[in-house]
Amino acid sequence: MLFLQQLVNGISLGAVYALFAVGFGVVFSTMRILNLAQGVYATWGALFAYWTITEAGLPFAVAVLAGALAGAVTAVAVDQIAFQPLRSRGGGEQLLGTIITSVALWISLREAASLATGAAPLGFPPGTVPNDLLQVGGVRVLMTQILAIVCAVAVTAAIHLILHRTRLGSAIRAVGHDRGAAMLGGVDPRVAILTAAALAGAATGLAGVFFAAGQTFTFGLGDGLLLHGFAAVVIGGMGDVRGAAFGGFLIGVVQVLSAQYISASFQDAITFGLLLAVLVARPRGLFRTVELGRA
Amino acid sequence: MMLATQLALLFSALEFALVGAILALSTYVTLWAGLLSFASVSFAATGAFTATYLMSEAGFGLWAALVAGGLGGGVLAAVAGLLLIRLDSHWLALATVALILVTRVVVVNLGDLTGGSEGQIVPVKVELWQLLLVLALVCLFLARLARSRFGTAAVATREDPTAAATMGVPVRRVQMAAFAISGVIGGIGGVLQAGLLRYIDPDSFYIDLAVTVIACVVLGGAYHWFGSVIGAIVFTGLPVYVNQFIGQGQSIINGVLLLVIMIWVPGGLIDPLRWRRLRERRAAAPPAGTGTAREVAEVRS
Repeated sequence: MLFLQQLVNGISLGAVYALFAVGFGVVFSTMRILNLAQGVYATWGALFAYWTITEAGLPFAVAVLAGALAGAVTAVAVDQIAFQPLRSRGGGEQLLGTIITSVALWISLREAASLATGAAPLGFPPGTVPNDLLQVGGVRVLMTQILAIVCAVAVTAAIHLILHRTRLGSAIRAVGHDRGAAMLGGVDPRVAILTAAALAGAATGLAGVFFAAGQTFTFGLGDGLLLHGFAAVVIGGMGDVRGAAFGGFLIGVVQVLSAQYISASFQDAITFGLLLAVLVARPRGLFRTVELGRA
Repeated sequence: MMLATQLALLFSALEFALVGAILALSTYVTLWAGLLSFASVSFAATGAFTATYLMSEAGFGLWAALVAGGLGGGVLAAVAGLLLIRLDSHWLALATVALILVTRVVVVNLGDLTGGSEGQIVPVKVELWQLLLVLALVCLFLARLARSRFGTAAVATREDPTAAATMGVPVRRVQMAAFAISGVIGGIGGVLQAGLLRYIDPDSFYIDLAVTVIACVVLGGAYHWFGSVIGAIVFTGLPVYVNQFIGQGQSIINGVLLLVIMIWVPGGLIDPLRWRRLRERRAAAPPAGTGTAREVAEVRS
């Protein structure tokens, strides 16, 4: 029974990582950007959700939407401030450039969040988060845990469908594959890139809200999420949002179970050791469904 | 009295800049061979905790500790390099970030040796002249290395590994050597950092430091070793001094500074190619154009 309980806890934690990883995967597969600033999208998503509840007195559902919106706006802003100048300069390998500008935005937005909150720990006021307890045959599940899992599955499915079943999705994938050829084919890369950034930001903002809903949080919330989201993305594979989501759930379960059965202080070592092992053994992730190499 | 405090602050800022420069040079060496690695911080942590243990338990002096720390960092780099350098650029960057995380967990859990999450006091203090001497030696070594066969091979590897391999450059061996050298310099930098902070815990060598270090290299210019030194002065030294005027919000300024540099001066402050172009323009030579890839490779050595 304890195992089942912890499995549920792991899956719900994994849902948060999955949301983050899906956002990360979208940006990486369309723009080839290793975006270290992504963690702060989650921070700002959580902060706006928090303010929606505490300052505006609106219900949790609105706060969730506000968090997603804040994440999307942050992502688009970061893209336009940091990555657009590099893209418009064009040419050659931009790996170092994009990583460093994303680091710059990470530092700035993180510090801005620290100033905005006075670096104090925050928590959603009791009663504002739907924390009803459901008993399913001895396993206790919180309402927020269910919401997080449902949300993660729905967002993953939605983004997968958008990317593979709509014109806009085809445009996004085309831009990711070869920007010049996509433009020749009549795709406006700006629209595709902004859509991808907004989708990624919204998913990450949601991850931030659900991460914050279960605990007290600080302006550093995004950092932990970034590291575990990274692990999820690498393990699941960056080319496909389904793989990324699976990686997220796997990391969550591994973390919770290893804390329970091995050692709480070693849970991060196990997670990141797993990450290193996957990198060494299967550098493209567990699911090699989509080759990322440029044609 | 005011003057004395200002001077003390200035010296302290200089000390942090010197250590920052050594750590930045460690990262520079990997970039030299075209590897984007955040692992210098792991090497520094290895060096620092090895040295601190030896200084407090075995009575090592600073110089012996530096040797031990350099060895520690080098060994970690060699092992990690064997596993990791075959990864593609993005994945290597990710893997080295993961290495920092794993290093931290190991440090936390080896409480008997490292003091665990509570950290420990570093018994030996580093003097300014010692920092200067070590940095000078590292710079001298890199300057000589830049003129050696290794330097040429490293630049060729960075600019185009496939072409370099066709020309007979042992690409993997060069990258492996660069990783190991980075480990030794990083380990030495870690020992000095420990001697400067006088107290180290797992968070002394974590993502924040990794970000600062890579920012130093890029800010200064990743195409010449001297760029890392300049970058470290601006990015690790200056904040220590300027903090007294600004206080909170310093990081925002760092971030914006980094962004501005990346957008307007993408090669960093010390960029041989840009300086050459400026010289040529001043000499009113016929418009030079952008130069061929070969020229770029030659100048950026």
